Amino acid sequence: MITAGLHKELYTANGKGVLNVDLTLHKGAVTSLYGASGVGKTMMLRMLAGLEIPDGGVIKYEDETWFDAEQKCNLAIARRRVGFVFQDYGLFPNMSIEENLRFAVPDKDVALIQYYLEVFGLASLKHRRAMELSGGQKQRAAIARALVFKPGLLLLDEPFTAQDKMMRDVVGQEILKFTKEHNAVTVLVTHDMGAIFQMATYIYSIRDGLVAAEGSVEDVFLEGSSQRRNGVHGTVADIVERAGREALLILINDQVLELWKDDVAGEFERGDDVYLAITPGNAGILLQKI
Amino acid sequence: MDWSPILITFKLALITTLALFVVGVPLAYWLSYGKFKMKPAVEALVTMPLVLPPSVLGFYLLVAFGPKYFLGNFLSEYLNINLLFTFEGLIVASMIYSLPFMVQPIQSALENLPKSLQESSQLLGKSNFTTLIKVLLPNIKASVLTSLVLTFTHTVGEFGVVLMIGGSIPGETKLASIAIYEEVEAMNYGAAHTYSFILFAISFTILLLVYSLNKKAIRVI
Repeated sequence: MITAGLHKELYTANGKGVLNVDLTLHKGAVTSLYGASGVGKTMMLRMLAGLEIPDGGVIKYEDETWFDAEQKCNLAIARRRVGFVFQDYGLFPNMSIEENLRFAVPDKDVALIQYYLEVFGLASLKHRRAMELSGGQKQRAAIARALVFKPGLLLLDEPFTAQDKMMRDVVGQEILKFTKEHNAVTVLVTHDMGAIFQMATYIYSIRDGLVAAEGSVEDVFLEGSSQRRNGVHGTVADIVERAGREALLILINDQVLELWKDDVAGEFERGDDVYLAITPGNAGILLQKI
Repeated sequence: MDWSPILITFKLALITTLALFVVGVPLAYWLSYGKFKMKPAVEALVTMPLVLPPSVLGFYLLVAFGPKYFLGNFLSEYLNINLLFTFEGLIVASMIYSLPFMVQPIQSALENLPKSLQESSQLLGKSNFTTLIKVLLPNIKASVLTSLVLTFTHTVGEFGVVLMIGGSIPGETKLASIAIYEEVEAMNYGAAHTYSFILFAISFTILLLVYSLNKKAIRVI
């Protein structure tokens, strides 16, 4: 378990602000940090990794102190064993994708590298350099590199922005599997509600530099938050195909709302009673059976 | 014709370039990624040889290397090293004079690389040395090449500093630029022209090669 009290002055596009949050991150589970852009989510990941020094607070991994402002203790980055997937991926352009992965594996576990290359659809591209790949392929390579490193703390900063739903599910499942098998602490920063529903067991909703809500997905997005009051109830009237994609027709107060099935998490059938809300932040759509 | 000024010039340029590479790359790395209060002062000091008249730099080095002052006295008394009017002194003076030509292109290139490259390598448990050698330098090959060549050609073209520190001892500190000056003073324009043309041709060829190689390096990256 990681316990972190993070205090940091932020300078964002919206002006100066203060981040002051307490987090408890459990092993073997994915915790999601959720909030509007510029609220300091990436900064929180960077402080956990040791890439930024908090102005105050304490970070502890089990009994080991990683950071303590009062004790002037700051454990070296390399000793924290953190896997970090950056928004710009951070792949080394001078190396092939396979070399990028090999660089991360101290014991050169070829089988493990091959496994992720295959599962992430990169096996045929392994000799190519990062600049020769698409955004989605680069992103998957960066995630694979973080996973083969077998980190104790896995930090994912918007790891699905370049993935389609099918790949997001595959990669998400692999991250979940890794987290459970290695008892890792995984922190996910994303605006992708589908990913949060698929992976996160605990959410911290950050607003104005503070934890505005925390708990399970239901606690944060339904019961415990204003979303319950802001959302509406409806019924899945039909599931139709539009231009090769599936769309849900939701009947709300005699009006029909059409949603791409890709845009919402979960499986729905005709006749399901559902709860629909626009979530804070980047206007994600929450649709849940009730 | 006496070929020794040409040979000494290129020997000096080669040694200066290699020695500055060893010193300049870590310095550029430190200035790019280090967080310390005195950074602007260090950057200003590194850049000083670019803006100082060579005679000013030469004068201060002459004083510093002289036996009357601390550094020169210490080197002479305790290490038996004399830097005035010796080839070793020329190397030290050239390294100081050409320092910004080695450091600045590399520092600028490192600062323009995405921060996540250095951070990713650190997070993967790699040392600063491994990060520099395996991740950073291979991604700024063109700038490294530019630094090496600028340092080399700049050292070949030195005059003021080397004249003040090395004087003009034939076969030891008499460089091509000094030989040209002396031939012109002696109204021996033919010899001056020969030395000048050799320097011109070699410098041009090196630069031509570098620009061609740089294009290839950029294509690779």
